[in-house]
Amino acid sequence: MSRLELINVNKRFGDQVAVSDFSLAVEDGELVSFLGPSGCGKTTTLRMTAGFESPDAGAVIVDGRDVTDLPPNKRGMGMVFQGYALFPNMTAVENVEFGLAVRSVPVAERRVRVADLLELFGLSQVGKSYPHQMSGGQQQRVALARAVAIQPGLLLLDEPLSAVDAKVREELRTEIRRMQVQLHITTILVTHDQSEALSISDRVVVMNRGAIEEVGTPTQIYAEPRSAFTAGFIGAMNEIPVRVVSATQGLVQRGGRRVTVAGAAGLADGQLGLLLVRPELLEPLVDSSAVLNGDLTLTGRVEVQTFLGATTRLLVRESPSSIADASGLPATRLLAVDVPSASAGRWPAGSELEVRIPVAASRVIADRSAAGADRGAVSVPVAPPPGA
Amino acid sequence: MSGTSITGEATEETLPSIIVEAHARKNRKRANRSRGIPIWALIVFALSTVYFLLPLYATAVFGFSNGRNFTLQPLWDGLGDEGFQTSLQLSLMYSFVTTVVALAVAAPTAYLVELRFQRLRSTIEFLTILPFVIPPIILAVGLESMYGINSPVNLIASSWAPVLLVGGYFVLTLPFTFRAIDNALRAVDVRTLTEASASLGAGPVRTFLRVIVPSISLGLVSAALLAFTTAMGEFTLAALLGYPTFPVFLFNINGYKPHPGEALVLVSFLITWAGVIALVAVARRTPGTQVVRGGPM
Amino acid sequence: MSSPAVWNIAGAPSAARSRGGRAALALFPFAALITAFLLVPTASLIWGSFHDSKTGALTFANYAYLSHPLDLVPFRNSLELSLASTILGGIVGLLIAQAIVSSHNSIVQEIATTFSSVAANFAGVPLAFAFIATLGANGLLTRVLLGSGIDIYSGGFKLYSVLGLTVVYAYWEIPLMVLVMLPPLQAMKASWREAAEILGASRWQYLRSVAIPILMTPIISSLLLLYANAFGAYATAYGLTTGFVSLVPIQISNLINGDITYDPGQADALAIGLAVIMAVCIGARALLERRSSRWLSR
Repeated sequence: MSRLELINVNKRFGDQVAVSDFSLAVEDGELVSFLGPSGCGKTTTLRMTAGFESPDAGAVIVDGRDVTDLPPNKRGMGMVFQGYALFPNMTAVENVEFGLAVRSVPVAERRVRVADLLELFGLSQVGKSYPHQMSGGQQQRVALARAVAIQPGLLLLDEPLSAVDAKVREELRTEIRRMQVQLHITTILVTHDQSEALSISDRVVVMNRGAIEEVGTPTQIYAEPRSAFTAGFIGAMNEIPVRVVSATQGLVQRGGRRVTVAGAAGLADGQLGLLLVRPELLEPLVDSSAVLNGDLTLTGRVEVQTFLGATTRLLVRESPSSIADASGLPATRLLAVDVPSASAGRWPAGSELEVRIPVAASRVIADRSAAGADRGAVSVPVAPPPGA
Repeated sequence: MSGTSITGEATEETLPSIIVEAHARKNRKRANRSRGIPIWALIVFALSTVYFLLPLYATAVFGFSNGRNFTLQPLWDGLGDEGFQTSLQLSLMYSFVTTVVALAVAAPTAYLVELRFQRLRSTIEFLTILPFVIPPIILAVGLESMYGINSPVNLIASSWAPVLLVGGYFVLTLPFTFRAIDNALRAVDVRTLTEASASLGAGPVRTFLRVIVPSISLGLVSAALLAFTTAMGEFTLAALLGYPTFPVFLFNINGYKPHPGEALVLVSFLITWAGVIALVAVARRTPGTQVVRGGPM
Repeated sequence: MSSPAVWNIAGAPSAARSRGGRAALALFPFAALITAFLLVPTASLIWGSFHDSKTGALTFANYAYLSHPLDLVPFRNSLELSLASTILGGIVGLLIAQAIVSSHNSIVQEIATTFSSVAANFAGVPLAFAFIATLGANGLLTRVLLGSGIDIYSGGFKLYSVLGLTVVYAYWEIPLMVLVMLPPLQAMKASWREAAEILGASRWQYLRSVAIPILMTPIISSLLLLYANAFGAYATAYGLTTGFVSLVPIQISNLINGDITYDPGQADALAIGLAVIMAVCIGARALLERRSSRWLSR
């Protein structure tokens, strides 16, 4: 039996749809992230799980029990709020033991449990401090300790790291994962930070405009995104227009070449598709003979180089000759090619280059934009994606 | 909460230009969107509206009647009363002069303190808070004691008498006017502006008038409104020191001509109301304006 | 710090000093006005309080009241009145302020705060007469109640009494409370309540353990403001009762205005006493403000 089941949960505010048809099962001990841009409904869904919002339709089932109509203080969940929400008039110890005090746990037992928790979180020094005397990271951990003190069946984290300094964020998220595994607490994490979600989750739920786009493991979400939105939202992704020749055979055509690509099965013959390739998988060719038979190539000119640290991103504009193709494909407007920074000097801005597109590592999806519109690699940010 | 909060009480006289922080944070949480106004809150609002409007309504009923019927005659009687006109003129004159003096003195002072005399800041602030702590009745006794009829410097009976009331009003309005101007100054980088102006060749006076004053104009308007409305409504000082201003007249006329008196009370209220609305409007355009507390009368 | 460097460039040391001197000169009007109309009168008050009004001799007699203040009617009345109006204004004001915050509606907030600003300003003589028109012997409400069979005056109510004054004072104490309590109430984070709730607390447990402790300081601070306001009020009391009800401010004015009761020395001493009460309230307020800002600042 799943720890948590959200069945067809819906919520609207006025005439604005916040969450639509959200269904998910979370297993015992899992850490599941809700990931998406602002306004995608992830926090609303979390709050409905906690009981701070009531779904217009659908149910929240915990350990087989329908808690949809239960108020938050009867659901036995733990929650960490954005901004920690520590009670300012209480010390760290008093904050952490609050839930236990409410349940009338005897003082002696309370003290022991709280002391253990504080030690687990490395907070023994600040037990007697007040929130305004603590750093952001310390407050964070106190908030966590407070939430798990009552040994909840489910732990809900609402963007717990967004108020924390970037430097501390990485440390903390590893700690959260470590604690979660150690205490074996089923956890839901809401975040807009991709690297956070990808680095510590068992599964990621990608949300967009109130609905679930995709659910999968971090690897699946990253390497095999099934929707254009996910592909564009997670990291940087190139979208190269191709023409489907035979859906059953997975054959697509571009620039006079035909190759077999995964994912064509869902499309129709003759349909316009988008080939999805991560920038780091594209290779500038040094000599044309390196092209394998199953690959596509593309030629163009480097417009801009963006230094990203270990890698440098080349933004390449495809030349007309590269796209010369009877099938009427639009040009790929801007392609992002990530190369090791050490060798980036070979392709300065203005230089011409040929890029190899490894089809084996790509997949094709339907192009949902206006047919024949001049599409480009829409989801390629010039700056590093947030959290990268 | 930005800015300083109230540290002094406003005495019941100085016009309580209580202008609440105009850009009060709006609660934008999702939860708000899904809830309307709770029932109990609506009941509270309804009851308090009745409570607060009732005296006004009663005043209007009494003021616009001759004992039996509704009539606006008492209003015309009141407005036409010679005492009304002279006292109103007197009040307007005093209020105007007070405002001018308050601005002309407080603005340069605040500017200089901010610019050069930071050390004096706490002293000056203390001095400006002091009138807060001293309700008008105490100030009145003090002024009477020093400048009254039986005292060393008899201002009241001399031709310098108006100076006394203006001086008293200056002190009374100082906390609000100074603070309004000071806040405006602090929101602007006074030091940089002054240095830039000086480097372009302007002297201190020109800098002040052409550069500083325009950049704190809203604060000056607030200060002016505060000073003016406070002076217009001030009763204690005027009554005890013997100046026949409008509030004093209002008190007297209600003794012998109750209907016109009440009608004029309504007029006085409208003047107050206009002043506060103006202040609120200015405060809304000045982000970070905090509660400037005057006192209820 | 010295004046902007640019103004010093061309100056020899003496010129620079004279510029500094000129700036100090610009402070003269302020200093003069403050001295003449604040400091000197205060000094005069203190001086006068230690001198007998008739003989001019040095004396402490004017301060005799300090040893038994509550034996004096004015002090008793003032204390009663201030306490009553503070409590009334405090409770009702807090209720209204919370209603405003709970409505989560910015339009309501704007209207309510503007309304409060206006209401808090409508005090003094105009307010007194407005209430006479409402609750006086011939007042609108009095007559309406009479029509329904309730005679408040035979029940012992008098507008010209501490009770009547309490009702009138409430008219501005309530909005004042609303205006000073709105910021702390708005600073209360909803997430505190939610955190308490998800930890299992009931509404009452949350109030008791979190909300009230946090709000206690701003509330007490606000009540001090209300109290000081009520104690020092003159115009409203005089406007309503013409000195009929004995209060400290009224007594002070009687002592400097009356023919028989003329005793400026005593008036001065009472005024100093009043000032001390004000100072204590405001001082306590300032201390409390500093504490509460630690928890409720954003």
